[in-house]
Amino acid sequence: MAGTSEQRTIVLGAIGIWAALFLLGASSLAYALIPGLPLKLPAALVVVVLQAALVLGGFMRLGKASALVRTTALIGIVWLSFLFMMSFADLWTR
Amino acid sequence: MSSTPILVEPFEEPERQREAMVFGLWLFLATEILFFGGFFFLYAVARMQDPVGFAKGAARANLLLGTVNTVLLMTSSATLTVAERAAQAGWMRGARGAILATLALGTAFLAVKGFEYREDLSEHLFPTSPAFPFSGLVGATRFWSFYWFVTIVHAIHLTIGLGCVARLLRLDLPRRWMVAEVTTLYWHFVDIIWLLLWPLLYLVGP
Amino acid sequence: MKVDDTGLLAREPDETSYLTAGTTLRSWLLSTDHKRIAILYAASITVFFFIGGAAATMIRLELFTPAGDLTTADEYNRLFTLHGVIMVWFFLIPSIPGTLGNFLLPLMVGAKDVAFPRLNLMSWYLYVTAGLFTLAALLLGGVDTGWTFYTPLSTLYSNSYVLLAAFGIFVVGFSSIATGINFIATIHLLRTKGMTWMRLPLFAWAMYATSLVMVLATPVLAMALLLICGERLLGLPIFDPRVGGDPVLFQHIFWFYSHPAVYIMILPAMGVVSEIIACEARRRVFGYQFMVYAMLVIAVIGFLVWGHHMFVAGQSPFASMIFSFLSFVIAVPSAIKVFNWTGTLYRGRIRFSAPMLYALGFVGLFTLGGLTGLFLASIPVDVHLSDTYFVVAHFHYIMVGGAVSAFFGGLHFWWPKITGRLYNENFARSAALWLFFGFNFTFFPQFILGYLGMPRRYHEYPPEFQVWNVMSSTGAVVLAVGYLMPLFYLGYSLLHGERAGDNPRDATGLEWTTSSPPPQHNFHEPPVVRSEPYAYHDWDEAPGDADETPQTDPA
Repeated sequence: MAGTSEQRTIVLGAIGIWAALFLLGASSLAYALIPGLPLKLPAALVVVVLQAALVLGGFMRLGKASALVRTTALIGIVWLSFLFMMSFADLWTR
Repeated sequence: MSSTPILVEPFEEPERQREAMVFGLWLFLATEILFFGGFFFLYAVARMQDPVGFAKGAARANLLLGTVNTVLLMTSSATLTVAERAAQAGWMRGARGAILATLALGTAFLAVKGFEYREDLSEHLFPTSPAFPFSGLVGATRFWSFYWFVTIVHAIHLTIGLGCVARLLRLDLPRRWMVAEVTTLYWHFVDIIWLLLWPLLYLVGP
Repeated sequence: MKVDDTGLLAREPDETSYLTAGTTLRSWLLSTDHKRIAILYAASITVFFFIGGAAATMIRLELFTPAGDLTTADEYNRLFTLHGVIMVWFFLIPSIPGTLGNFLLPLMVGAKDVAFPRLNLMSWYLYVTAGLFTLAALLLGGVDTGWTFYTPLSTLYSNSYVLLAAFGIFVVGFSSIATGINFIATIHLLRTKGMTWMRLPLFAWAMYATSLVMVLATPVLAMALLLICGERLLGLPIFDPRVGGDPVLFQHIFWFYSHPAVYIMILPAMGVVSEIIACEARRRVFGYQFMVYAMLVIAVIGFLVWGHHMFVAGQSPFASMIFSFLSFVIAVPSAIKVFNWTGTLYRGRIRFSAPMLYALGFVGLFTLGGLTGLFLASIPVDVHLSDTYFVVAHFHYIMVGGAVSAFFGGLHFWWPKITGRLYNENFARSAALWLFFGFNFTFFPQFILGYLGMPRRYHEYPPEFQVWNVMSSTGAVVLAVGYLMPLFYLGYSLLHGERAGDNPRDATGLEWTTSSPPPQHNFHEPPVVRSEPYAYHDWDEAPGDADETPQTDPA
């Protein structure tokens, strides 16, 4: 049985990350709704990257995971970049 | 860790087993990145080809329900994190409560999605519907194709996630918290996909 | 042979082999033992091999005469689609990984099982379920799109069971992914004491490289097929050109999987052949580290060459040039492997056993298949040869001449370990030679046909092509007989074969240090590795008859 202080750490830690996710989402929404602002989609994607980093680091504890696990997570992204890179090499030069 | 974790063949020490489970699940998540990546690739191409038509279609997506769902899923990730850490710390009441909360939030997501689908259909926002408001408009038609395709695929992922989370209630969690740990990894991943879909489906319109 | 009597005596006498550990059907179908799952895979891929083979036989019979007299054009489309789908996804991709890989990988790294035994069993059930879906599509009337499912034919025009077949392939992809995840986790986390990365046998390295490709390529195919299902089932126009869709995009994501899939087929074959050549030539593998790096480089660059399937599909000339260049680049590590196999043979004491005949056949056929691949990687030549029989001959040299020969070689090489019995060596040697002859008889004429301009996927052709087609079809009959031969002598050996010792081939790998067939938990005690693989002779000496050092002995 965990002590109450440990329980509080668990709950507060999750609430903290949740609050950060929520605020980031709210800022993304606000930026999208205010008319006339430039680069709306890139801005939204930057927010998603930050949110994803929070979930990966805070909830999924990727930072504390072994090097093997972190490499695995990275490899998915790297291989996806192959698909984008090579296909756009075609699409942009047609 | 409160009590000795249950070991499964071929492992002989808990640390090794945990490493393998987390590693195995991350390998699966890498496949998921590439799976959804194929979709995002097509989305990117379609939007670049006709950004104006795309935005016209996206403007009809229900921003309110989409945003409600984003908050629901974000919250469910937080509750499931509480569940997993509580299970690891041996706080079983907290773990069970948080699992139930996660199930409720996940189900609520699907219910809201259902209402949203009903509304979309009543507005004929389906590319093959005879009264589709954007027929002939390339970007908007493709937006709605992507919308239906990817939200259905995401909902299937979430339903599988609900099954996995519900299974945790039946497990001897004090000794099998490793299962809780890998289940949460999957759930968070599905959450991240939605966090990415939310701007791509609901925020490109306004 | 270095297994001493004390080692034999030290065994627990009551420990049973994996074959006798349970005899009920249930004990097989619910087994999580990697060795039993390997047998389940072997049985099921054999069934699919003969189904796919029957379709190939029909195709070759139709092409015996220029007129389309045996099948209609539509039936012919369904036949070659059936042949392609079954052979690619239900035979070649699971062949070596599902059978030899499942059986040998844990033994070779000194583990009790793969990392996730239940996932391993699930992978077989997914395979069977997927196979049933695909067979259902076949029995209901077949699919006419070709194994590539190109849009818009597959989504808008095809009036056949595309949905069912595509769903079957979607499911079999998960079986592949499960195997890949299992192998990667096993190699990373379950190597026994002393088994460092540079002491891994090349077959284990091949499984590692293959698994990387399986895990990273298959999900993209799953998305491609699911999009087709979405377009056919729900009518969502994703690739439909009428609303701005681009069928070439489908080809991009399809080949992002399907070109690396070729390496899923050939990398395991390279692993098998490396094991056979080292053992049967009694030589250390020449350039072991380069063999390892070559496989890893093939696995990575294999992801960057897919556009060479689209030179005439509307891809930009700039992209085609990049893909062409990279396709030439990938020939370099492949050539390194061929040179190193040859280097391994040099000064070896070669035993021309049946597995060795298959392995030597592999080296030759793979070289021919690989070099003709360079013809096709070169854009101007490909414009002439694209969609001709030259392409058909090229990839059959890699997949049948290469991958299937290696699979048969591996099956013979490890047969005594898997079953505990010896097969009739003379029958096996004749079958190997017969198959080599039959294979070239079938497929070499197709190079010429393709060069002369005969297009693939037509059920009739101008009469001037008949002589080559008759040769090819006759060769196919020889080949078909050859593939039936092992069924008989290997089947016979199961019941009446002489008992094999633990290490009948005097090989060095860990799998040979345990009994034949291996006990349920693989090793009587966890092995400790003390030397590199392939220590068949001292570094500064030529090989003798029995100078090998098992991996468990210090070098």
